[in-house]
Amino acid sequence: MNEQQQRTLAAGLRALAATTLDAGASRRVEDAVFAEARRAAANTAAQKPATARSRRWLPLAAGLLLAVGGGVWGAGTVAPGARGTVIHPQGFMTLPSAYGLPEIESASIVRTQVPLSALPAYGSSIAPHAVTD
Amino acid sequence: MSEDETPAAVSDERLIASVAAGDADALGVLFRRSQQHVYRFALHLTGSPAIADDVTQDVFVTVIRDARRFEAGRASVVAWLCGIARNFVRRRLGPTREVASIDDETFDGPMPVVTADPLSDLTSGEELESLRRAVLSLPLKYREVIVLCDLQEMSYQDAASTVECAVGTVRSRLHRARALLTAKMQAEHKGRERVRTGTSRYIA
Repeated sequence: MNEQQQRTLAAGLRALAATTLDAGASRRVEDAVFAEARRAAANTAAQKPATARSRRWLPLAAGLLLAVGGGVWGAGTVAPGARGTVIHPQGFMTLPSAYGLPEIESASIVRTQVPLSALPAYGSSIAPHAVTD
Repeated sequence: MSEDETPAAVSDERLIASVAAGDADALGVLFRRSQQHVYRFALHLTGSPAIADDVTQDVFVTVIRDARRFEAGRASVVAWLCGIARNFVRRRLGPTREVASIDDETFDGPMPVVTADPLSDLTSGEELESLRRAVLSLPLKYREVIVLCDLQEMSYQDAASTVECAVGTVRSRLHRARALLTAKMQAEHKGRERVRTGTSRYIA
């Protein structure tokens, strides 16, 4: 390809580009995109309070998570009948539903995520004022 | 995007960050600012205004959902948008693309033969239409770089980011694509000349 051909091709491509210089998406596309944006913004707005609320629960959830893990380790050290007890976690705590389990000879501490709603199933109730603590 | 900022003063990167935070106004500004790049890219790649419309819509809906995936500093926003558009175009062109990839292998061989004949003026109406068809007939990987670098005047760096390859690859593809276009245009020109000559003989 010689220089003359390169120049001619470049001029042709520039002219071709110029034919679509003002081309753009139709109104239908704009409407659809903006509708989707509004829907997404509404969803985000609806989720924000829930997110903030769930963040207030985070310290409590973390504490209770430790309680679940620590409870398994320290099973058998708490007297039965404490199911439903309100816990104010300060660190590792015993899991009420771990009563009666045999002594653990060896174990590893693993970190896992437990939904708040699952805690009562482990015997831990959530203090009503904990949300604002 | 804060309320005291004029939309024109906000960078594309800031707009994307605002879109990621759920700012519908920022999306509006970004759309008006960059939809033409996306639309024209899809239009030149497919030759279909309807597909270009659909691809543009798909791209911005993706942006609304995945704006946080944009990595500032890696590519310009327009290059990123064109990269998304490229994926949608490839999906749309599915079976055609397969044909194009077979051609790709052919063109990975020797360079097309370009004779020393001068090209006719490609800016006239008829030649321009031929050139458009020639661009559309290029294998996709060559078409992409011609559209990005020559028709949309994107930098090699951004084009490389859009088509996910090295800058050197963009250069070599561009070189080959231009040679292919020149060869196609020469062949078309010669074909037309033969038809004209034949017609003149018949008339005479």
